[in-house]
Amino acid sequence: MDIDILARPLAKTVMVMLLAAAFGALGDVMLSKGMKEIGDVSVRLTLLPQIVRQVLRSRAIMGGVGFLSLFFVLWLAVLSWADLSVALPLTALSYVFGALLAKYYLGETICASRWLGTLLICVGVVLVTRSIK
Amino acid sequence: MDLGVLAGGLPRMLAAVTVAVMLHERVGVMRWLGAVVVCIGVSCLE
Repeated sequence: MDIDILARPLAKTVMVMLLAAAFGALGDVMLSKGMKEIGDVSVRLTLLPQIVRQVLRSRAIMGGVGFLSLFFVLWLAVLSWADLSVALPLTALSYVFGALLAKYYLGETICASRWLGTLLICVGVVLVTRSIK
Repeated sequence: MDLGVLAGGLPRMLAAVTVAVMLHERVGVMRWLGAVVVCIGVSCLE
């Protein structure tokens, strides 16, 4: 990795937040996959101990927790140099990755309003990044 | 877009506004505009 890029606040913030958002979306997708495999837990709350065991044994859920942990570490790192008013809107990039992963990995149907929302998030992120001096 | 849909993204925007004010960050027009557009985008997803 070019060290000069990391010396520039804008490039550093955007690069790390892109990575963090990707990890966040991957984590959410894996949690979703793992919980779908376990099934609807609301109809069998009396079996709570068994559900907890299933959750702890699920590779998908544990992988999701791992990716979300990575997201949290990168989020902490970004907050050490970037304004929160910049970093917070950039976390919405995880919705963009989430929509793409939901469609192409989980096979979910994404309606037009969700694609519009994804596009608006991208436009908003570009505007926020342009405000960085 | 109805209010019920828009309400989903509003807490994020209000949080960003409150935090920016509390931390005395310099928030220009471009950053406000970007935050609002992101919030509307998130609202479209929810």
